[in-house]
Amino acid sequence: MKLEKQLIQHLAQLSRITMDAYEQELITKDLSRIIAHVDTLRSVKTQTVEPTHQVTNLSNITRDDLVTEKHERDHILKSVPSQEGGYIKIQKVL
Amino acid sequence: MMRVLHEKLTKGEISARELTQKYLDAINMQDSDLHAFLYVNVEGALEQAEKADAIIKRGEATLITGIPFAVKDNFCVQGMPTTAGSQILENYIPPYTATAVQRLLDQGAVLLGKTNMDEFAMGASTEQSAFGPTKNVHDTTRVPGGSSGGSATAVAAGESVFALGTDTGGSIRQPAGFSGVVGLKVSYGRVSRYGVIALASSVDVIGPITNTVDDAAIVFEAMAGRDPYDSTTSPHPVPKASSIQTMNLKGITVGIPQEYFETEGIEEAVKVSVEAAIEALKNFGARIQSVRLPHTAYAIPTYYIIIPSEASSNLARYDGIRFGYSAKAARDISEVYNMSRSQGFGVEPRRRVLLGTFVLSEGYHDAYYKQAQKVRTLIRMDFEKAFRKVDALITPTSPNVAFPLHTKDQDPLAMYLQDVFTAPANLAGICALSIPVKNLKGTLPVGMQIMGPAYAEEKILRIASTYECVRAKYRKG
Repeated sequence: MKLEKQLIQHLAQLSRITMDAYEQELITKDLSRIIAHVDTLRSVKTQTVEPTHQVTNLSNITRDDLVTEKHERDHILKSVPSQEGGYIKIQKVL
Repeated sequence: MMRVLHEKLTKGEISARELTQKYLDAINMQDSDLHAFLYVNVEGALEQAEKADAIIKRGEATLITGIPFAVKDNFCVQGMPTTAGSQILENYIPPYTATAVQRLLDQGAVLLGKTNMDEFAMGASTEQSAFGPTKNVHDTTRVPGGSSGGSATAVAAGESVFALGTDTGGSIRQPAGFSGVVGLKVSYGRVSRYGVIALASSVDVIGPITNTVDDAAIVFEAMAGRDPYDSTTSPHPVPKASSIQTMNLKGITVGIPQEYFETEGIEEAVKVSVEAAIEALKNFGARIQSVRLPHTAYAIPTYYIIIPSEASSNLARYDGIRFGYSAKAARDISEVYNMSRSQGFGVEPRRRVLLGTFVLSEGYHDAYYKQAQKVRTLIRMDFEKAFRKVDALITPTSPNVAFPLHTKDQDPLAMYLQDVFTAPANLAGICALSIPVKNLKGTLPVGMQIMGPAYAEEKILRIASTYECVRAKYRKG
């Protein structure tokens, strides 16, 4: 199938990814080739086949909702892009 | 190799600190050329080694204690940079440690550092790393394979005793094959994925890259088993490394799937070398039987629908707020998302996020995603039927030996086809490994893949271990 420019722009918007015109052209070309390749699946007869969602055969695996480890505040603060005075700092964008 | 080191450590012939220093020196000497490591844990490793020496002194050492190892950079380690090979996680320092790594550290293993990888494990050459490619130690103009290329090179080059990798479509086995080392992809659910940065959650597994089959069995035993933090981990009992038989394949039937050997583009050297290795197994009592896996050709198209779908969902969390990179010039919340993701992700993650979004989107979902899940069932059934007749399947790990750098990195489809022999095992959730075989027509390593049913690691390790002994005999002769 042919990927229209409008569809690529819609996907980019859904994915929160911005592209310039050149990049958009390249990625459209790549995606068209990949989709042509995966299109071979359409010929497989699957009317009576169940889909595979997972392969473990396990279901409803739970554990008790107990605190078993504690994360140090300093360790958590180290994982964020920016912090100040013990707070997670984000830009004024909200 | 680990048993020999263990003996030296416990007899006091070498201390864990000296052993660690030896490996740190090797990294220091070679790694500016090879680029296997993204982060070297110099001080931390020496501290851990001293603790290991204390464990050894107390007589409480296991086979893992005091052994220096490395992990792919998508394993979270508390306090250590963890980038997954991506700009978007540059400067990300996780607050906790992956279960698999923690289990090794708990036994006194020594963490040398984090190894290079294709960004978010998307690639088969380690060229898609945001921090530059890793080289193949057998020929530095060639790729080491990927995405766990840093781990494979670290082990092959003697910069680490063993290393952990992750395998979503071949990312442990293919680099192990290209680099002449052993790589084990465990059955889905065997080893906890808690703390490993997700690519495709229904397929991802982790496993060891090692010098010998025995080492792979030892590391596997140390990591595997139920983890309350990963609800997909299996309650199946974990086999003991010491119980794996060798030099005896009586009662074992090995299946040879014809589709793999008839694949277009398979290199002659790979084909004849693997065929010769299969022939050698006959001498140890293995019965060889030809089998058919008729849906093999659909594995790559299925894989490249399911993996991007799951990846597009898993990568949604990188929003420029919570982890790593955040675009400074953004003026509102949607610009933070858009700019951080566009600047932070390299081309392959962007491509897969868009592809995954496409195959999951309204109007295309049934034709692509749902159809791929159904074909995934057919691929699983092919294996189930085959394993009713045979104990294991043997194929080449890849259709080719390691290719030169920058020959496939601009062609995503050519790179995807690298997974042609390895991706089916991931879709089916079965176990598989790659072991180096003698290359009859060249000098570069050739990998042989042995696949077994889910939770049959013991069986494939037994076959691999037997071949390894044959190979050692060749070398002496």
